[in-house]
Amino acid sequence: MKTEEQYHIDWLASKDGLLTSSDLEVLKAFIKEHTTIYEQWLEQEFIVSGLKSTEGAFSENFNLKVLKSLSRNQVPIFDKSSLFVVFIGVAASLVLMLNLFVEQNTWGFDALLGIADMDSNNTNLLFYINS
Amino acid sequence: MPTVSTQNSEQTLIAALKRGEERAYTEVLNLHKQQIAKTVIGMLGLIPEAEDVGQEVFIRFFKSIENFKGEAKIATYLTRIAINLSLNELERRKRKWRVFYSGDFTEEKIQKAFLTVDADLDENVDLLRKATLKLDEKYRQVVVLRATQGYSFKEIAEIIQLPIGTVLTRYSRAQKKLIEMLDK
Repeated sequence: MKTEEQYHIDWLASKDGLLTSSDLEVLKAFIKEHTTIYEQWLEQEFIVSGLKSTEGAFSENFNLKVLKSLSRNQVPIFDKSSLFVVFIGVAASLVLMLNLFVEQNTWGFDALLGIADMDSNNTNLLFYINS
Repeated sequence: MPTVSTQNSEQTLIAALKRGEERAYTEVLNLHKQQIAKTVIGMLGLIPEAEDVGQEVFIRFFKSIENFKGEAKIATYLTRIAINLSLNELERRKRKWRVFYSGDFTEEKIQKAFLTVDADLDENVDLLRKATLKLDEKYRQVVVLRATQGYSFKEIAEIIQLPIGTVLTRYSRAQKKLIEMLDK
C-alpha cells in the first residue's frame, strides 16, 4: 500500500512522463478518491511555481570580469586584434633598429647602443651626446 | 533533449572555445549568465559573493574546456558547476559563522547578516524565496533547479548526479516544507 507521499511523488513523476501506464492508472484512481489531497498538491505546485518569476542577474560588467580573470590565469585568448597589436610592436622595433644602423653607418652591436662612431681618443660619452 | 541543430551549434561553439576564440567565450557568457545567476542567487541569496561564485563557474568551465567532450549540454554542465560551487560557498559561510560568531549556525541568521533587500520583488515571491533559503541544501538545490529554472527531473538527476527517485522524493518533501514555512 502506497503512502500519500508516494502518490505525490508519482504525480510529480507523471508530469514529466516518467510513470508507467499501470502506475498512472493507480494514481488516477487515488486522485479520484482523494480530491482534497489532489487540490492540495495543485495549490502547493502553484505556490512554489511563483519562484519562476524571480529574477537573477549579475552586474553589467560581468563578462569583462570573467575575461579579465581568464587572461590573468593565462588562458590564451588570441584573436586577430591582439595579433595585430603584436605585429605593430615588432614592426616598430625593426624600424627603430634600422634607423639606428643607418644613422651609425654600421651593423654592429655598438650601433644599437648608439656608440659605433666613438673615437678611441675620446671615450667621454657626454662629448658625443653634446656634439 | 537537445535538437540536432542545437547540438550542432553547441559543437561549433565548443570547437571555437577550444581554438581560444574570444568571440566564443563572450557568446557562452551571454547565453548562459542569466541562468547561472538564477541558480547561484537561488542557492545563496542576493549576496555580493553570488557574483564571485558566478564568475568562478565560467572560469572553471573555460579552463576545463579541453576536457569537455560534449556528452552533456553546456547549460547542464555549467549548472552542475554552479550547484557544486554554491554548496562549497554555503559550507565556507558556515565555517566563517562558527569562527566569527557564537551560537548555532542557521541559514536564516546568515541571510539576515548578508541579504540585500530587493525592493522591486513581489512580496509573495520574496517570502517564497526567503523560505527557499531556509531549506536544507539538499532540498534547496532541487527546488532551485525545478521551480526556478524549470529543469525536468531527469535533467536534475543528471546535474546533481543522483537517482531520479531521490530527486523526486526531495522535491516532494521540499514542497511540503516550503508550504509549512509559509503557513507559519
